[in-house]
Amino acid sequence: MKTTKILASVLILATLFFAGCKKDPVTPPNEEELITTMILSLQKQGSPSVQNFVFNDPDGTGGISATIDSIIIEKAAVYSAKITLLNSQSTPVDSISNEVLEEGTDHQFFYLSTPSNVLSSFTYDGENDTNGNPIGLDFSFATWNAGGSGNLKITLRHQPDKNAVGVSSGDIANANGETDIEVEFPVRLY
Amino acid sequence: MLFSCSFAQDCNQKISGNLLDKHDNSALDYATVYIVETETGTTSDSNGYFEINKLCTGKYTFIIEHLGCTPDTVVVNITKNTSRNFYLEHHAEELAEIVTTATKAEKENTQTISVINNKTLTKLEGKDLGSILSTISGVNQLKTGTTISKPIIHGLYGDRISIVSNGVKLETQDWGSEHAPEIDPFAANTIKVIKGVGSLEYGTDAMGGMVLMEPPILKKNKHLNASVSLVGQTNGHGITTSAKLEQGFKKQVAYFVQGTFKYLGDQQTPKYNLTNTGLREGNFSAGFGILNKGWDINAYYSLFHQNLGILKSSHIGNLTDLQNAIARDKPLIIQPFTYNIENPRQQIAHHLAKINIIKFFKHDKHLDVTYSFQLNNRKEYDIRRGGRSSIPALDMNLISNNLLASYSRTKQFTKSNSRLEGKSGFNFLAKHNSNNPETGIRPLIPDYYQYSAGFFDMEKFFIKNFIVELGGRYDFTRFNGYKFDKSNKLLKLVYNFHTYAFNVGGSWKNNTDNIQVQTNISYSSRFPNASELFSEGLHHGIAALEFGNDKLKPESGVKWVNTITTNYKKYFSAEATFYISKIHDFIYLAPLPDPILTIRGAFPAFQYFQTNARLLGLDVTVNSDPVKFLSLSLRASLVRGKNTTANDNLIYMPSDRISTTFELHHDFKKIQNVHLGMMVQHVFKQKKTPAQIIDYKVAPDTYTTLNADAGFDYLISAHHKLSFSVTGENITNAVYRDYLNRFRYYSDELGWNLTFRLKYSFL
Repeated sequence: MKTTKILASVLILATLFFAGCKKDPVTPPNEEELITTMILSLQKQGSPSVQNFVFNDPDGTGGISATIDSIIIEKAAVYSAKITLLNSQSTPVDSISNEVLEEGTDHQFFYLSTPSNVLSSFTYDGENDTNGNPIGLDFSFATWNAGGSGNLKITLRHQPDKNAVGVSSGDIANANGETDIEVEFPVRLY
Repeated sequence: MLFSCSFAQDCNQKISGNLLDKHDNSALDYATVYIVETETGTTSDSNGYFEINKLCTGKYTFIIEHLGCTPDTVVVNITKNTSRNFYLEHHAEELAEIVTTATKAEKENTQTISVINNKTLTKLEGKDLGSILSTISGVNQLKTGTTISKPIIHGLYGDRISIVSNGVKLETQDWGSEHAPEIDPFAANTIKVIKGVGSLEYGTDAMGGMVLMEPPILKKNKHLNASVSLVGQTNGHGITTSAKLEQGFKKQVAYFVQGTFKYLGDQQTPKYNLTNTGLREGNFSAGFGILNKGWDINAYYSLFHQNLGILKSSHIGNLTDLQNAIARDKPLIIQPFTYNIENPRQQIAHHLAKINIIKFFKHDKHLDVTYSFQLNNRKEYDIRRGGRSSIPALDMNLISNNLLASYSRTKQFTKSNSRLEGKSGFNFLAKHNSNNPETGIRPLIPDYYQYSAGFFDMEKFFIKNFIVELGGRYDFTRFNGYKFDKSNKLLKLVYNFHTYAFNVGGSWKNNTDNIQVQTNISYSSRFPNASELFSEGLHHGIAALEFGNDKLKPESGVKWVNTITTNYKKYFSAEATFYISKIHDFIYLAPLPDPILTIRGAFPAFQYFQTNARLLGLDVTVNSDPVKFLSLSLRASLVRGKNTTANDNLIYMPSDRISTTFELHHDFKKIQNVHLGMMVQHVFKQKKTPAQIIDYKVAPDTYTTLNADAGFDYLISAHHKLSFSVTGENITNAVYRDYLNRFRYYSDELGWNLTFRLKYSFL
């Protein structure tokens, strides 16, 4: 009798206890800072046509692997380049380039060619930050006269030390800060 | 940092006598006699007789408790061998009190228990839990920088260790290595570490061990105690203050309030400032208790609130950044000292409220019901783009409701002079973890609901010099996870876990009580936590991607712990613990074969897998007081962890270490506990690191640190005491790094630090 009573009260207690936790609706996350896509638009100087090369990782880190285009461009030429950063997960698609531009003093792009002679003479173009230092969404470079192939590494540093030696002319060595983007495009010159 | 109590006077006095009922002079058998000052006690025998030996001359406060009696506090001045009877008010129909926590000797166990008593805790005031526990042989800390520390017991940490505060198992958000348990050590009167599965009333999952933090028992008699502590430290220019008030009334009602405040700026290594390592902490706890007609009702609330900075240079973007950081011999960002805390930082709040009701019945039986509510909020702020740095990158609430009920009984067998103590009960737990959807970042741990129901029984049989212990527990857990996949489709992941724990042990001591052997075999099991199942993301500090594994099963382990304790008079005592544990389906992070390409570059990736593991180790503690003013001690520990399936070493295993302390002490009439001590700790290089898991930097070299402390207590009057001490840590300003600090990639350990402690107590 006593045991039954105890058992009954335990069961009632347990039911009350578990019923007390009502489920809330779960809201999906909105990854505002995600950069899914980097479009490198290249335009040969003197030519009207623009070629786009894309790094694309629509589901962000992990999941399906990122895809990356090979840059196939002409040798012995000068190209203007423009970087567009997108977050394709938000609707409408978010331009992260605008955020980078707005926080220009906190951002800078760096370019590196391996081997170093495949692409050279990298120059910052376009808008500078409010201190007059480069941001680097726009830039230009020259391709090697002899042709060949290699890689182009584009790095975006967050909160770099723009006043350190060489940084404003595009030398990453003393830039420090934190890497937000590091994409390496294969390059072939024809 | 010495564990032995020190008294300088003649310490060979004895007090003996009988415990009697006030009304009819009948003997009170198995009553507890506890001395506040020495924190020791005994139990009266079946005739009510008790004796306590080896007391120094002086005034002692005795607390006498017996089931069904009003506890009594008596001050006795012992100048010679004393014989004295204590009388208690006995009400057979009005049974009351006796919750034996700190009063029961630790030796009455088959599991190995190490105790940090109040005296030692006072010497460590201002330190975090991890640092305090690491003064025990076999306990280490896994650190992330200078402010985050997780205890490691016998090579295991995190969910494999249970922390129980004031009878409530802490439900924390310390899933990752960079999350420390959310607790204020100031709230504890004593801290015990059980190097085994622990008490089965709290769960089946304490594979490494259990930490019991016990606040002072609310003594429900007329008294008033108060204390105020002030701690200042040079490294970090920090200050910690704590105050406590405890009051009891005649009508068996008592309460206490306690608060701690900590303010710390950037800390320093011997060579540079550690930018953004400041800390703020504000803690509060209060309790209320009433004892009436066989009911003992206690309510308790505590709040832990912390805001801590994380070394700025540890926040890196990708592998290139990490390699650059490692190539440097000091952190990238070194700014002048400041108290300011910037991102990255963590802001943590933990609320715990509990109500505990004990009903006493006749014949040594009582029912104990505890309901507790915990709310944990963790906000982590990162360096973010687009003005989002003021929005937390992680913002989670964990709500836990826990109901624990147990029935305890003691059966005396007068013929064989033995007794059987038993405790059985059940436990319901409901947990809900929820993420703030406004962070703009995919949550590290998804939302989940967890419901558990558990049943346990523990039996302990005492006969002559033997103790035999047996226990078992079963838990059923339902786990509902709500995770968004990459396309933001909601996945409901449902798991049913069955976990068990068993425990068999024995203890024997010789007649003169100077040798004790304890042995205990326990089986424990633990289901994977939310982080192991679902975590997904980049760990900025170590430039690695970490993935959960939703196929994980519970892991289970068998641990065998053996301890031999011996002592020779007051001069010498030693304790050695040997253990071996085998863990089946051990959950661990293993590297994935290929790095993962992201827009930040390629990252090494890790995922949780299961393997079989074996740990074995040895802890040794030796104390000696060769002469009455000198104490020497030695502590050493070693542990070996192996992944037996892959035939590789386990990661983050503490390296071998040995420390020795030397202390001179003396008591004068008014100035007592005058002490001057030194401690040398030698930590060897961890050479047994895993071969199959990449480490960007080899384990740091062997190092030696030197600490010293000095202090005294000034007795202003019979009730007022002032304590003062100075502790110097790393006084040679040694430059070193530690294998168990995950920020060893970035910076050295702390340089020298002087801590000044001033405490006023009113008794």
